[in-house]
Amino acid sequence: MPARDPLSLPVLALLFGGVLAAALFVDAYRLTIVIEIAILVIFVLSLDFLVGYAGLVSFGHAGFMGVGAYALAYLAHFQGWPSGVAILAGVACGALSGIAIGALVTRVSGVFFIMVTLAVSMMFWAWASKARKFGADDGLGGLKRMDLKPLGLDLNDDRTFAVVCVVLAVLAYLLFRWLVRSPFGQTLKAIKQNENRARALGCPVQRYKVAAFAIAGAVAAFAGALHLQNTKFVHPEVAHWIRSGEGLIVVIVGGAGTLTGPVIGGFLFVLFHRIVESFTTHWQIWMGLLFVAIVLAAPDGIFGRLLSLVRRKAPKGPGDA
Amino acid sequence: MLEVAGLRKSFGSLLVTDDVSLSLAAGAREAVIGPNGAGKTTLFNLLSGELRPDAGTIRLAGRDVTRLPPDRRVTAGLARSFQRNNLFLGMTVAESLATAVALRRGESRVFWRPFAGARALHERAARLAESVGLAERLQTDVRHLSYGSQRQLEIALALAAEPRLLLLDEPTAGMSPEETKTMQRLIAGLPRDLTLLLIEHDMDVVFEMAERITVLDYGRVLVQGTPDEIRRSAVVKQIYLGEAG
Ligand SMILES: Nc1ncnc2c1ncn2[C@@H]1O[C@H](COP(=O)(O)OP(=O)(O)OP(=O)(O)O)[C@@H](O)[C@H]1O
Ligand SMILES: [Mg+2]
Repeated sequence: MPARDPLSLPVLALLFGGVLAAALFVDAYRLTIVIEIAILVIFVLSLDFLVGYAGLVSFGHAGFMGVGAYALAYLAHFQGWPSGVAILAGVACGALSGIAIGALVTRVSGVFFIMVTLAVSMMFWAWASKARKFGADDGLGGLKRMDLKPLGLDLNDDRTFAVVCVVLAVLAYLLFRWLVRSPFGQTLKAIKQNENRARALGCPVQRYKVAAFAIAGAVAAFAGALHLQNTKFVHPEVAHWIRSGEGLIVVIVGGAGTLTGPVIGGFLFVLFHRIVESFTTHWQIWMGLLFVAIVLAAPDGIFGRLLSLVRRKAPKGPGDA
Repeated sequence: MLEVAGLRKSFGSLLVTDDVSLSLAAGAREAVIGPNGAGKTTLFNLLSGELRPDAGTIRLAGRDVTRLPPDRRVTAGLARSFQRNNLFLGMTVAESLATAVALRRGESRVFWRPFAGARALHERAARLAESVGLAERLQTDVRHLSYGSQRQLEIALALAAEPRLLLLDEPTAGMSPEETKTMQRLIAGLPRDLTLLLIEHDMDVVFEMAERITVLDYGRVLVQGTPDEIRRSAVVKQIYLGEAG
């Protein structure tokens, strides 16, 4: 599968490079777009790790964002922890809830799996919407960004914050690239392709799925914490099922099972959202239509489609029968 | 090596495994035969843990594995191939085999090194491919392999688990006479200390390979015996060989 992918490098260089350049030069409004893209990319990469590599189509992934955001809000705002430590603790909470939820949901399959992932994340959302301490469904403001002054970075400057977010998105990409190319990642692919055969080769499938949930949960929680750092505001919306659904759309439209796909998807999703939003309040209808059109035209997603176009043209290597 | 006692399994009202008992000494080579739908594959599914029996016990090398899930039975030394090719269709031959080797060696947990750079895994994968006649096909996508080559890969995957007990479910099913010969040689060449249980419709293969044969019909053990005894058995002639021609 790592075979013949001449596209990822130029595409990623273009996208990440473009977003980074934007972070450095654009105006304040467009900076918010840059930040949104970076955070969404981190989120959808973690979701793609579950969906596209481990074959676990979760409909509740935003729940982990909620865990990261609320853990950060609680520890930093109410317990007075330094934000950096609170973020790490939030990531740990994401990993732990990934283990718990993974252990629960990987016992069921098919539509039940989808229902349980959805239900668990909605429970979190319902709790957050009622949690007085966090302003219930009004949310809670007045939170602070991490203090990186010792490193010479002022995160309260949106431009600096945007650059940091883009760098973190690149790091998230590299992390997952490293994981999916390892024997561990290869084993997840085997489970996705043929779970029954993997088990017949001695694979404790359940444990691998739980591990995938832990990793994806940790990174999604990090995206949630970053989201809070961006808005300085915590709100149940961060864990809403619409966000989980949007994440899946981005992964599928971009190209599940590739890491470049979700990066493309995240980039296009935010741009499309902002552009259409300026014309009509019904942007989700247009998003839905576009989603259907893309999925019909490119069942493997945009990047999957591009790859197969390039591969068809490329001469076949030796050993191709 | 394998002790099966009183194994029973039904699907709804259909009794598919009816009080089956088997005993294989280490290094034994035995076959299970019987007409279509006799419950041969179901027996394998019970042995490998894909199905839970309603009653009975399965002991592997003296250890009760009746309640173990399939992956733990593999760790305990059992591997199987499937009647219908059951492969990783999105991988190359090399990737499939190296994945299986990684699982066998406990290296599938390794997340800090690249899979493609794991020399030992890929060397072992190449040797496995060679042993089943797929040396030329290492870089071929599994989905593009011919049916016969996919059958060979099916066996190589099971061998990658380095089992002490190997269950082969119709390894020559759908193969040309020539491919069947190759497969027969491959099976004959397996290490002598490997215990082998084979489901097979091709009687030439069965009579040549097996030291003992179990005949199943409607889930029951009809007869067990040496190839000669089976050949002479009137019941078998009537129910099975008669049908087969
Ligand atoms: N999961 C299942 N659910 C219900 N019935 C099943 C199931 N698996 C097998 N059967 C039935 O059990 C009977 C035995 O099937 P099995 O596959 O074990 O036969 P077999 O001896 O391997 O046959 P063949 O020679 O065709 O491979 C058949 O009637 C089959 O339809
Ligand atoms: Mg069968």
